[in-house]
Amino acid sequence: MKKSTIILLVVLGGLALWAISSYNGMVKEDENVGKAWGDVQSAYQRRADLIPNLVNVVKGYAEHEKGTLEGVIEARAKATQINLNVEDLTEENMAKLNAAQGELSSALNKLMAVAEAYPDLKANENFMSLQNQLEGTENRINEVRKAYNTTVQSYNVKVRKFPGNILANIFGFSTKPMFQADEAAQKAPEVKF
Amino acid sequence: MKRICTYLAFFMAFVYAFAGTYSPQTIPLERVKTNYTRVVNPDGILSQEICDSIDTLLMSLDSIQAYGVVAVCEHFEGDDPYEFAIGLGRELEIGGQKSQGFVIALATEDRSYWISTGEGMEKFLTDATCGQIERKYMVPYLKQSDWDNAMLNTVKAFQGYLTGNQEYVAELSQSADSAEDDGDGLGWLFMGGAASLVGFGLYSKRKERTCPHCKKVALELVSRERKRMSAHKYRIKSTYKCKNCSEIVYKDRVIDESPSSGSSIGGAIGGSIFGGGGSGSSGGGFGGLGGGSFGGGGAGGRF
Repeated sequence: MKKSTIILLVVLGGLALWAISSYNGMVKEDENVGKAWGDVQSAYQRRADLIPNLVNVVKGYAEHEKGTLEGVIEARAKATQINLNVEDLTEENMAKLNAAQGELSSALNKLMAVAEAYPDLKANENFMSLQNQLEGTENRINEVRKAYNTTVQSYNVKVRKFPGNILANIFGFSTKPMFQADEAAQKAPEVKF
Repeated sequence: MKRICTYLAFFMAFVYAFAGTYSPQTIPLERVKTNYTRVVNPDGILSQEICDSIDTLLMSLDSIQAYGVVAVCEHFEGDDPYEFAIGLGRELEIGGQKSQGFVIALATEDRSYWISTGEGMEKFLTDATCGQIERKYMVPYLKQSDWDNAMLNTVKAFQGYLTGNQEYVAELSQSADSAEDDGDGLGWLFMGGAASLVGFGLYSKRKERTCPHCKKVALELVSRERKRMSAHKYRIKSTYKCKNCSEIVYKDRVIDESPSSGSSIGGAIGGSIFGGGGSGSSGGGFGGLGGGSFGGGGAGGRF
């Protein structure tokens, strides 16, 4: 066998090994993103599942707050309508999901603020337990969002880096969107006296 | 000379301002990591007697593979008890799926506290239960600045609840059940899980305390040593003395927390009984991204 043929075979073999390893790496990262997204979805679902109980408990003590309670139920309905699979993750869909979940968070914050005006409700053991669970769920949402962003960042680096991006284009691996900080949270609050 | 004095004054002010302020990375953990103690008390806020009592209670949970740590200092860096507790759990790597880890953190000058549960522990201790323990056994004492009793009673409640002490189980399950029952039988599942945990706790306790010579449940723990063998494996060496026949018994156990291992009793129980079905039991988890799997479970507040 000619020396040049051997060199060519070695180079082709090396390229094939690199392609297989890169492809498998991307598949692994893609699966990690899917898992992280699943965790995000289940954390949101957990919060949605808590709301009917919370509304029922508050309703028993604060019937006059019908508007606030309806606001929460409406926001929950909107938020649960948006179910995104990992394949549907685009900037646009992510923005819709964030808006709906943000609306639900605001409605829940309003509900908790309202509860402050009802001492009997605040002292109710069921309400306090639900409050603990809601707080824990908000923390979990925060943690899984952070974990999702970390996973997506690692995936996006792999997909965009040269020469991996050539393979990514061939096999259809595209970058995925990340959670952005809430715009409202970035503005410093105005305090007026 | 005047300039030196000014610099010295600034330095002293700086030191004073940050004294007693800790993050999970700066709080001294050597004694906890070597399993000498389970109490991190760098500012000496808790008395030595209480630290010893807490140690005994927390180390007794080793038999059901629950690993708890208490941290008490004056200030948490950033005044954020949640971040501190979760960070400490990750730093100590006690939140794996098969070792049920939890952290009880208190900052006396910030007047804040947080109980953080690891991924494995979330199955047994829901956020609601953590909140109840805080309200019943911790906050009343914290409000009186009685740090010793606040921590001791909280740990007693944790130990009692996890090992199936009827007093604590009845007290804590009752309200948790009514708060978490969504009408679809999930409350019954929680009760079933708690009852099984009680049974398992009693069984393990009895088995661990049975003397192999006289067959009486009379073994008394003399000492316990925990040594880490690898990232996921550690060895627990326990020395017991039989109250009946005075025999000295040595027990040696290797705990494997690696994902592929199926040897952990606590993990197997968590998986089979709760399996993420009970309300308030599934968490985000931090698997693979940090030291320990702490996904945000727990409860806390200010007093």
